Amino acid sequence: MRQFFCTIFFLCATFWLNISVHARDIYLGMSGAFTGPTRSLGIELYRGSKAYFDFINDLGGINGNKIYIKTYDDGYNPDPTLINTINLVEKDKVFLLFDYVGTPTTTRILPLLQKYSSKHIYLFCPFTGANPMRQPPYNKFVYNLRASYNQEVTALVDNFVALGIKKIGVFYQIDAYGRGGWQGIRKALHKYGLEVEAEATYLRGAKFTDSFVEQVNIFLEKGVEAVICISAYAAAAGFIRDARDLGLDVPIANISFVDAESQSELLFDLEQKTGKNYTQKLVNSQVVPFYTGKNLPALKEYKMCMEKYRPTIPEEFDDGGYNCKKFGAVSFEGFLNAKLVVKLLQALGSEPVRAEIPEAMSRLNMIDLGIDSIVFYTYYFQQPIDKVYFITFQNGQIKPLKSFKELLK
Amino acid sequence: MIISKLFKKALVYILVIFVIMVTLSSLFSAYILRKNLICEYITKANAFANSISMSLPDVFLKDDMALIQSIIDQYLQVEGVGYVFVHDEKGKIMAHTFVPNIPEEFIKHLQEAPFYFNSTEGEYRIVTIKDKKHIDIRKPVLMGKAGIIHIGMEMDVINKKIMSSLVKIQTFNLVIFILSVGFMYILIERISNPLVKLTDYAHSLRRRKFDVPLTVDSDDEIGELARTMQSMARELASFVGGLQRAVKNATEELQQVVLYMNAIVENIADGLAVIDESGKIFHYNSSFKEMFNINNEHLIEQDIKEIIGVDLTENYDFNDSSEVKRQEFNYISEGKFKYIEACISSVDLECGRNFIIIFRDITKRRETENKLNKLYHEMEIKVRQRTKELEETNEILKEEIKIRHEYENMLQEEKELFSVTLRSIGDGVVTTDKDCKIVFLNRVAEQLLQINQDDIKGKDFADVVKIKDYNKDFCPLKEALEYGRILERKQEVLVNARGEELNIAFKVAPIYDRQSQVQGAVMVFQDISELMRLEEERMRKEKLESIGLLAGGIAHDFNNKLTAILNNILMVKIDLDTESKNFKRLEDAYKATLRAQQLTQQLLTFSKGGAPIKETTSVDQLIQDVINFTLAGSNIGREIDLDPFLWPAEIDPGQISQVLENLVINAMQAMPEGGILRVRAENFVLQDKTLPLPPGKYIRISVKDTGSGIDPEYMDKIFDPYFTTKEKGSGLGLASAYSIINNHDGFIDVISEPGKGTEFIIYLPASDEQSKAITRQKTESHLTKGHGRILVMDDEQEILDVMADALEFLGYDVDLSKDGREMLEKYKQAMYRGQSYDVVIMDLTVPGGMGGKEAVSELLKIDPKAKAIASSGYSQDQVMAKYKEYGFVGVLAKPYTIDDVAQVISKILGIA
Repeated sequence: MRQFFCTIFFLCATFWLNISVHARDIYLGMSGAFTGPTRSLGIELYRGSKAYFDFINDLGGINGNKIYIKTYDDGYNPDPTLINTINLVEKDKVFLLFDYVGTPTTTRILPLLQKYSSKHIYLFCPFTGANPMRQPPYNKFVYNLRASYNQEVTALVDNFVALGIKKIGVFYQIDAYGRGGWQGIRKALHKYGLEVEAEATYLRGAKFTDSFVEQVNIFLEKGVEAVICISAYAAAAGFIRDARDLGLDVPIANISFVDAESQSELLFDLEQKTGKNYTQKLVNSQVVPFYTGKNLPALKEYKMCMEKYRPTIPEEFDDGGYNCKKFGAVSFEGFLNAKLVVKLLQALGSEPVRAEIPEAMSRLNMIDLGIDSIVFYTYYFQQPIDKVYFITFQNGQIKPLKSFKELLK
Repeated sequence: MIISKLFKKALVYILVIFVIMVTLSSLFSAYILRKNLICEYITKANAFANSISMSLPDVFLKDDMALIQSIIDQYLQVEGVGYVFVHDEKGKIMAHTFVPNIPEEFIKHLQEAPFYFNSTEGEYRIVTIKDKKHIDIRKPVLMGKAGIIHIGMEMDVINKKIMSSLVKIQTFNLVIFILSVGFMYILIERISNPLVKLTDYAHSLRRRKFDVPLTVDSDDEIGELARTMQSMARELASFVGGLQRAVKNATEELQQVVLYMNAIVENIADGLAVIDESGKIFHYNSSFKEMFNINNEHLIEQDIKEIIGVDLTENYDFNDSSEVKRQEFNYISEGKFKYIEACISSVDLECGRNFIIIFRDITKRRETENKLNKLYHEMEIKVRQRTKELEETNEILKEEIKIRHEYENMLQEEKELFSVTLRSIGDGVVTTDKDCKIVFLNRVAEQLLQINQDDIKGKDFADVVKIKDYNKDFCPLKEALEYGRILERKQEVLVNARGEELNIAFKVAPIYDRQSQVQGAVMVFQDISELMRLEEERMRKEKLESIGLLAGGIAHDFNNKLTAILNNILMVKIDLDTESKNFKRLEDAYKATLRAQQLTQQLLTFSKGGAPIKETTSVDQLIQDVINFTLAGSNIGREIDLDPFLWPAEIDPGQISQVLENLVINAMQAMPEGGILRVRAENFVLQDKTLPLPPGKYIRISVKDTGSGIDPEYMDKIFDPYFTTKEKGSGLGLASAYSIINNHDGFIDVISEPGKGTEFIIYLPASDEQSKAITRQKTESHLTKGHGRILVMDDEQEILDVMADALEFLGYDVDLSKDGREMLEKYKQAMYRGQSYDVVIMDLTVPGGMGGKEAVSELLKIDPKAKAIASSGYSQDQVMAKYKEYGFVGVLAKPYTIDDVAQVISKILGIA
């Protein structure tokens, strides 16, 4: 009998279990900062995405299905993010999670995604470049679109070192976001045999009006030649103010989590009141192309949608104290996030099923979102936007930075 | 007011004691609280550190500081936690919570206390950071290899907690103390007065003065107490008299009881003796004397040991007076052996301890007991023997059961392995017994044979399934059983239970048992229909390629001739009167030549000579144009279903239009009486190898009619060139469609059922690029005239002649050349004279001379602004497809007409 069996071939069969969601309207769940010192991030990210969904819904939606964003405010705090996520999945039964803002907040919900793996809940395009969502075990639940903070800080360090700057200080938020950036800078410096020259921290939630004199003094004592900030925009602006007031006149760099428009608004206001120059020698790294830059197809589409639909703040968070920006890097990123999700929903067909998301993303192959970078996603590998762009500030305007040498003038 | 003075004095003492107690208890509480809180904080910090180090040690090995930071951040929210700091075994910082930076004092503390861990336990020290004391608890993760955690608990919080607790407790004590003192003062003042009177009255009673008066008359408890004391005094007086009478009565009653007890003792059957501690008898009854056969009258004060020969109090526990001791002994009286049971109890009296001993004769009872014991002993021996035998038998049985279980498990495992293996394989497997009756079928066999194992088990294989060998039925299993050999066939036809015919490959082998006796046979088979289809497809492709090569060569020459013929006819026609006889003849000749041109064109499409001129195209627009154009005015209904998000494709729109036109024309011819044409286009992702195409993204176009269908015997030949079943058919329509789709790296398939209709399915590779809108261009028939200098290069004299006439007719100055070199020479001379040519038309292929491909690059070196048009009979030539890359500004595919020449030149020269 055994000899006989040895002559036979083996075949395997695979079964797919699909969980279907039947609904005419597709809801995407977003938890972000709509209040507090970082609220411009949540609001602008939401507005960018909303503009594109409005445009698609006007065209009749995807296979007749309209797309809406269900929003919750977490004020950039991890605990509310956790509660919001549970509500979005279990009460609101959203199709997928989308546009989450911040590292400490998004990092906290990652174990929850593992718990919901049987429900096939995926997080799309979080507004963070932190590592935990780009590494096992959680990278299979998260589809990132933006470059990582590591890529951003490595690009900044490379450019600074190329200028001959060796004494680099780090000003960072004392939480997972700040620590991730700090580690990235430390690794980038190790490549050149350098160490972080000085470091200073601040607590999450710091306002522009808070004092950062203590932190500036640490850098002054060590005589740093440049500072990289891993912070939120209000704290970054406050730090720059105190640095320039105390005579720390070195290049200061910020990464994409700092909303350049909000940062510049605070500093330009201050310049007008005091007559001093606070925006010299500043550089911000960005993960999307600058919105007044190259004539890219996605930028044309973005400007058209933003002007046509003029998206507003969700009613429940509108206290009248926030002025929506016409264009900006954050809303452009939100717009690109929405484009990626629309591509996914098109691939999923008229009755989208969550369990098919990984297969559909893989099937999309090379995705052209209309910018100068192609993205693609397979079961095992993700290639989000891998370019880093730099901007600077001049005469009350934001403009692309052509060369880091401009920072030494 | 003596009481009041005393009370005030007492109050001062109480106050002093209270203050001392409060001070001491505060100090003690503070000490205990501090100790407990420190202990609690250390435990808390240890618990946090444990929860990190025990539960999450892998996090520390991942080199992900952000994750470590997010974990330690949570502990900072807990009351009392001042900081968390993590470093690796070399002392490098991994994460911390200090703002704005790590304090100098802490760094110093780290340097002072190097890594001294030699166990997994944590340790703590007191660290002062910015004048604040912290308890620094250190905990190694993985013995310090993964990192070391420091948790700082703030001492300030402990001190604040102690102070707050003390203030609260002592305030509460003080309030209670004041209230109690006030209340006591009022209460004592009220009750002290009547109490003094009561005390005096009590003193009188103690002196037995029962008749002293008491003047307390209040109706509260003290008044009640006074009245009670007065009535007590009266009762005491009468009670003393009554007591004396009762003593007398009791004495008399006692004497009667003694008499009564003596009578009972004397009359019981058991012997009774009362002795003192030394064994002297001081009471006994007559049964005692009878039992021991005593004749002596007076036994009082005699030693009982001497009478019965046994000391009964010898083993008596003198400390336990409640003990009743039983003892048996033998007594021989007048030669008779007696068993006596003595029951001894003790009584403690004023005069000392006495023992009461009751004797009973148990001689008969003891004899019966002895007999019973003997019987019991014998019985026990027998039971032991039987039990031993049973145990031995049981052991043997257990061993047998164990062996049996092992064999059963082995059998079961083997059975399951075979069963799973058979079920999982991709080939059909059938086993029969030696009479060819079916024993087993696996799942694939069930599917292929369209039968269920339960329905046919035990039936003869040949009754269920037929296998045809040269159209004769035969049963390979029977042959294998009969001749005992292995039988293998690469291709046979199997007719399954539903009567469907399947092409299969199979192998049959007899199954032998251990004694090499045939037990049955097994057949493994595979459905090879799909394999055969793919093989046929491959052969067809090869056949077409070889024909194509031949056709391409012929067509090239043919095109040159046709160009000359066509243009000559056109030139003659222009000069003739349209009403003349010759004009009509020429018109007929012109039409015949045009048909010849179409024929050549179709021949060329499946020649191997070149590639389609591809551009990214939106296929849905193209399909709609072709269907509407071709079906216009016919009696055929149409159902067009196009995916709105159809991917664009990289195709030659002209060629694909031709394919679709051919398919639609075929469908129309298949439905002469009218019918419905269904055209469907959708996106298609190929993931497996079911089609002869690589996996990827495709567009799937289906053209389906409701016509007569194709006869199965022609199905193999429909794509062959010159194969047709129609009277007027050229036999090139489907052949060229096949060739075009093949040149596009696509695939065409056909499904047909006689009487029901035919469906052609085309697969074209999809493109990621944006498409260009394709509109079907209508050809303008009027000739556009112009002026300018044109140089024509061609190796065929006929072509040169006719082009000279045609271009002159169109108003141009013409020069001619035979090959590339002559052309370049003429161009240089013209430039030198300042009379450059506006356009150069050059043939790509010049046998033995410089062709257009080389000539154009030389030309552009001489004059970078030169405008050159490529012309060739190989319309599929690579240069024709990508003419711009080679430097040409336009193309003329042979055979071309004067119309084509006029259009191309006027477009290049910008003449409206």
